[in-house]
Amino acid sequence: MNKPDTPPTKTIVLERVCKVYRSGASQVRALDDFSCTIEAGEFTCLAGPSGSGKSTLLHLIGGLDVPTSGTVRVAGRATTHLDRTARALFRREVVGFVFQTFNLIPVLTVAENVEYPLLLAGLSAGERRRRIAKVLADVGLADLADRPATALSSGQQQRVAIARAIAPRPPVILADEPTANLDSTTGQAIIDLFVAINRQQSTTFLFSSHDPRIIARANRVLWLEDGRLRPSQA
Amino acid sequence: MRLFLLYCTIALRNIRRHRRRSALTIGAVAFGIFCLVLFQALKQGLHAKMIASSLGLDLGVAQVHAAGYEPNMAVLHSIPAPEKALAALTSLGRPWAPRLKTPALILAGIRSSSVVLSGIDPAREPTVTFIRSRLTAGAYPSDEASNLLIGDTLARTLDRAVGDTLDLLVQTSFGQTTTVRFVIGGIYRTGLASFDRSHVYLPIAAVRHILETDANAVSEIAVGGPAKGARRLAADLASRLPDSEYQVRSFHELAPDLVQLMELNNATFALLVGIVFAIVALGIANTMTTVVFERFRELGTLAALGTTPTGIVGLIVTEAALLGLVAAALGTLAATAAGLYLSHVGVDLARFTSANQYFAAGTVLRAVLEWEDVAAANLIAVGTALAAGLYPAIRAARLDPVAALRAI
Repeated sequence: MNKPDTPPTKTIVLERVCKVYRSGASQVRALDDFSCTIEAGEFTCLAGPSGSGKSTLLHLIGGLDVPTSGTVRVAGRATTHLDRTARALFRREVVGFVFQTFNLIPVLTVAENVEYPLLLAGLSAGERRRRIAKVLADVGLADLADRPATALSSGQQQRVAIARAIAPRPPVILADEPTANLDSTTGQAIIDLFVAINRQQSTTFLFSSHDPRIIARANRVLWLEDGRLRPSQA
Repeated sequence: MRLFLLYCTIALRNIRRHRRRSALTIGAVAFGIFCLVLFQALKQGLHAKMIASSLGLDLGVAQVHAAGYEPNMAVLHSIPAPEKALAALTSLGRPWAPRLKTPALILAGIRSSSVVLSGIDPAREPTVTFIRSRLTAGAYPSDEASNLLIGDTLARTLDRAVGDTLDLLVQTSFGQTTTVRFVIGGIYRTGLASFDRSHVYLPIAAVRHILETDANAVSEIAVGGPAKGARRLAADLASRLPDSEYQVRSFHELAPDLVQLMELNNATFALLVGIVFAIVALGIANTMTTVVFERFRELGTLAALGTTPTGIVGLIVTEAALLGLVAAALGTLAATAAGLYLSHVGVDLARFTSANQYFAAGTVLRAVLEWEDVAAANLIAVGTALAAGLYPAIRAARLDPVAALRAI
């Protein structure tokens, strides 16, 4: 794993990032010469219409994909030239993901889903038990630890996903439309939870959303259009 | 370790989640293992029967002859100082039977037949061959009565019965021909017409007398006991006797046709094993490929959480191995039960095969379950499952996490 080469206060740094998807002769420029910096502990929302590049940006920051050109640095680590294994280790150590469709492992219980990234992190059994108990209590699911994850309601499943993302205590949480599959009350509750975690643990949050009520909760909003920041922000 | 256990948990629960598909895959693989273990047990039983028949008819597990002996019996070739060889055999704790063999012509009125006349020790010969147990009339030769034991095919050919007489024309050790009349004391039937027509027995003392040999002349010592380790026994015995005087050969050298037939069986069976396990591999690979496509998004999630490509391979291969293990356990259980049943009851092949030297000891084929064969079948099954799971596992490890997360 590469060592931090940017000051730790600038948790996410993107410099002139382009991402081009090719399909046969045609190509789509999902991100176009995109640059921005997100400071440690910021609670940032990516907003913009569908196809504006929000998900692509989250994938690049999360090390799920690599840019066509430009540089992505997260927690001081450049992900651009990492191979698959190195990017997997980067994701394990640096980011926590929360997905729109929750993406829990269906055959595992709530506690086992939360335990999975802790096992990857190599934590001891005692430490894993402590963290699982704490994060499940934080998201209000302490009583449902042994329930099959898929037997829960949508809101509860998203809480499990959040617990799974925060349990390894990564410096960055990335959430792609985390409230899109939830009703407005549950969606607000999930954002409340994000805010609480952000305040308690100073974790950097970057999430995408269409919902104006959710967007309004962010302390910074990056508006994307056609793979670029809105001219007013750029 | 806990991560591996969690992979096992995921694999087991996924196997349980898709019960019908898992049951079909496990059933097909288990049936393959069942067939292999049972066929191998029947093949071992067949080989045991072939060996017992061939060795119990005449050969024994090994034989001692004089150095330079050739089995054409053109010249009577006595073993020098046979007591030395007998002492070596006694020290090895194996049963043995001395013989004095010579070609002879049997005369019965206007009929005649060429035979192998074996002078036998009536007490020791039954410890090596089963001819005594195949008496159909009269008695086995004894030291007290120098009566002739002949096969029932020969008796019918010559139209003779117990109590009748036959003339034996032989060449003495001095090259003279002599004819001696004997009373038929017993008739045996091995079921092998060619053998029953051509082998007659007398007490060894009587044969020494008509051949005018030394009082302790022996042309062959047959060694009895289990066939397993015959080569080692022959080598051990040979090391105790000087090469210049003795020639020791195991049944492998004495009956190369038997060994070749068993080798042919083994080669055919190996081909069958290859075909069965290719089918097993295709079945598991097909199932695991379906698993990978079905769980595309789940695998993408695991990758997003930081599972390395090696970890993804491990997860898929673990599931394939568990399928193989469960199938191996079920297949082995069923095959062991069937094998144990067939080892007691057997299958009578009399209706399926004509009489031949390989079934002279009996036509009932009994399964012989060797635990090393069962272990080998299981190892091959699990190894095949692992190998079959590898291709879909590598495909899963190479999937694009973004595409996987977008999959519905």
